[in-house]
Amino acid sequence: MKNMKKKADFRGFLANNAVVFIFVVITLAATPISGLSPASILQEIVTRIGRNCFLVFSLLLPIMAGMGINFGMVLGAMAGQIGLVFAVDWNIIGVPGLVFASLIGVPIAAGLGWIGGQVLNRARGREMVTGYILGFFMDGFYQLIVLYLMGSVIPIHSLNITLSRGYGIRNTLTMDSVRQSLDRLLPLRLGPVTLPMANYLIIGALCLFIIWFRKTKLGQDMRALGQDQPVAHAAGIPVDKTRIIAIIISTVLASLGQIIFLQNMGNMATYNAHKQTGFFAAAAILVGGASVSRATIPNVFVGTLLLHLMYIVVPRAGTNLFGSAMIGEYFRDAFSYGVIALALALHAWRKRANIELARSELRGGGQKEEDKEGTTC
Amino acid sequence: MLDITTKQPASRRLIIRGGLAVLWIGLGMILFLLYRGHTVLVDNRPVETPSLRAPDLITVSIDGGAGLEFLRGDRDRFAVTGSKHRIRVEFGDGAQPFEQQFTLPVKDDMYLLSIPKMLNRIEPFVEVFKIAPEPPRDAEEELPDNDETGILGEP
Repeated sequence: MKNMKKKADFRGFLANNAVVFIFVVITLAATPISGLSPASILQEIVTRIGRNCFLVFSLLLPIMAGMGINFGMVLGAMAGQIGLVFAVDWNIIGVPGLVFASLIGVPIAAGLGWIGGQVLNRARGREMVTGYILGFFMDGFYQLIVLYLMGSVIPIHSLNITLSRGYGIRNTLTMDSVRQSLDRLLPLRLGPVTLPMANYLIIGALCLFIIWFRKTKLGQDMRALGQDQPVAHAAGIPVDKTRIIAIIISTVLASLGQIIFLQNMGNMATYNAHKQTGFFAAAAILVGGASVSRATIPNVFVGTLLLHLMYIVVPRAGTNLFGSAMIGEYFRDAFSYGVIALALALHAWRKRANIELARSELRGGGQKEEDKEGTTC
Repeated sequence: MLDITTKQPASRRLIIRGGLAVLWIGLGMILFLLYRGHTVLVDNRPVETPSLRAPDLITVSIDGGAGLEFLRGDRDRFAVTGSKHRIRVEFGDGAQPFEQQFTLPVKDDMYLLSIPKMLNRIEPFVEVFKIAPEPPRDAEEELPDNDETGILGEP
């Protein structure tokens, strides 16, 4: 019986971490083939963790509140980009430029988060797909604002960022005034690797905020919602309001994350940069071992590390193996989408298995099982 | 645990929210005024009216930054942040260095600072410098295409 329990525990452990294992195996196999030096891989990883973690963190609270992965975080990313457009337009230099972009982006993100929360409350149980489509819907508004209203209705004073027709923002925005300003604020050199300490301090502060937030009444309410919404409602928790707050915080964090992300990139693809944000963040958190109903801080770090390790080594491995970087790129995309599909399928399977187990226990199946095992022994 | 926010009277809540909004906008304005970047084109060309001769060789630095050497007829650019600045001119012939404070208006990006005018204390020695607007290009060429905007194409 002990052996069977151990076997079941091991199977459960494997099922819980299947995605992580798959990624570890892929990256371990691809790393030596890529031919990249450990120092260059380490430098890339350190930079990418500092750049992407904040965005991935924005998914934690909606998962905690039982709303799944907030694909509507692209709304926050759009808000951050609008903030950056104004910071670049007025040529606000360095980190103050990023703060200026945040001051503009955060209220817009909060407003969009409120709208998103209202919509998701009306689509209870289908939050993820609704958030995904909401992102596409708001993308149309974003384009209307950025492509037609900026420069015509909304004052844009710099000719360098507007299209030559006089209104609308250029397809690619060069962000010289804020480029890598946060990364270069507190660089720490450790051997061949330079750590962007300012990014890591901000991420550390966000971790502390999340740990503190989970202990507050609002945080406890969100956790209660994540466990069982009808029970939380019966206990007097304002379910709809708490869900809206979770989405607002997530959207605001996504806007700040997008600003941090883009300052590192140095250029902004005005009409594209936000589109894949939700997808990459979701892939990262799922690769880290999170599910659509459970996510922790270590999931964020492990996921970002593994996903980006794969992004670094797989294209190079593809080049070395097949003589074409494009094959590596295809692999990379296939694995990223595949991991989301696998995580969602595993979650559905586990949910159904738990329901079956609970049902069989209600019918006394557990007792029968024990009797059966006893007889066998 | 009691929800404190529901216990606050509406007026107090309004004051707190109003204060936060003012603080938010105020911080934005402070950042805008203190960290707005400008380009200063330092111009060491002779001035025709009134007729002013430019110095032969000078070293110019702004706000204690790295100095740049200018021969007569040279023009170079400095990137500065904020509106109040101090310029220092050191002369190649060993004459006493010249220092002057100047203020840039917030609105414009680029200013032209004439060294001969400044040395002769003729105002205004700092003027707005406008770049000629780029001629309109082919709209098809520069507008984002359907792939970029995500707009579905014709079936």
